[in-house]
Amino acid sequence: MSTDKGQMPDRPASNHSDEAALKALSEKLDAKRRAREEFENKRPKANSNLGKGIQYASEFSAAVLIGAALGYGADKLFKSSPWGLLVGLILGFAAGVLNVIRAAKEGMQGDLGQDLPEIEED
Amino acid sequence: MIAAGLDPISQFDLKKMAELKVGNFDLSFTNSALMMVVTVGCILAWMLLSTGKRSLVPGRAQSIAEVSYEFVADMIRSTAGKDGLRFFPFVFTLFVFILFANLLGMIPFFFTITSHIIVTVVLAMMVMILVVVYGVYKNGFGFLKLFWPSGVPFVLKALLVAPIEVISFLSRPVSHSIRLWANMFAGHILLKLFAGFAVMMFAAGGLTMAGSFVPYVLVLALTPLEFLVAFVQAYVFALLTCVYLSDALHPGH
Repeated sequence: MSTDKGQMPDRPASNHSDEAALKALSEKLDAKRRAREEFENKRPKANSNLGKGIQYASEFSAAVLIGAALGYGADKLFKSSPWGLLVGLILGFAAGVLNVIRAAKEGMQGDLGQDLPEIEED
Repeated sequence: MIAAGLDPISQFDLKKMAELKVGNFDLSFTNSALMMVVTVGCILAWMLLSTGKRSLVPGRAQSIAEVSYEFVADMIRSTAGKDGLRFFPFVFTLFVFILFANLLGMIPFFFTITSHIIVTVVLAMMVMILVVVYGVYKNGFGFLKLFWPSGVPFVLKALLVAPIEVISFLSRPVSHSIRLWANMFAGHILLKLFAGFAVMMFAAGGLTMAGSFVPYVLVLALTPLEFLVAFVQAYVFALLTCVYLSDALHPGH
């Protein structure tokens, strides 16, 4: 394969049939390239169910944990226990839902994600 | 003795290979550190050997290196835009390091460094610190537009949307690190567990011996899946890094 390409510049390129052959070759290469790109774009989407579950679980629980931690910190700071923790948990829950919706939208770029609520991300 | 060998957790044990103490810090060289050195060594050898010739028409090894370059460059271009390419070295390093660490961890008796959450936390914090520092350096206070979306009533924005966005932002390094760690951790436990079942059922003899093919087939099915997970998780980590970096480049979208 590589030796063929190495010899190419030696040949006279002005020849008509050579030009046609080159054109055909470049078309073939383009088709190959497109097929490969399609394959590469598709492959990472082939996520395992366990992986998907872990992703959504981590997205959601991380937000709840952070919200609760922030609320707890606010309680310690302002001595407002238990209101900070309560509000933090609720906001963390909301942020977790937001995270999961964003992750799900990213994961389903086909017709699957159509029924998910629309989030303005312009 | 057999039970100790089949313990699914013991594969994550850290073993000190060379003691080193600096003050109160234990900087011993462990099997995890050894695997990191092996990982970096493999990447260096791969990159240096495959790009050493620098031929115009790439050979097999060089075209693999070029394809991986294109792969990461396209990923950055499509998620963070053209100006995201200034972070190419960072994203490419992360991607290749995690990919090699995951794949080397699939070799029997090799340690998987990404199955320890402290490693993935450090990687995720590197991303997060870069996003915050670069976002503030480039946009100043404009970076806060990330938490201040347009087109929402002011009261709602101040009381509800901004706090939720802040929490969502702060939760990123947590979920970013947990995702990679939990995938590798769970995958390796599953593999070890089913392999252990196969051996134990086979050793028990009788009817269970005949039934031992079930966990064996499961291990057979799980192994290629784990290779896929190793690749996908490296890809997802790099992809989300790009998404976060695009927030630093264009806050407020």
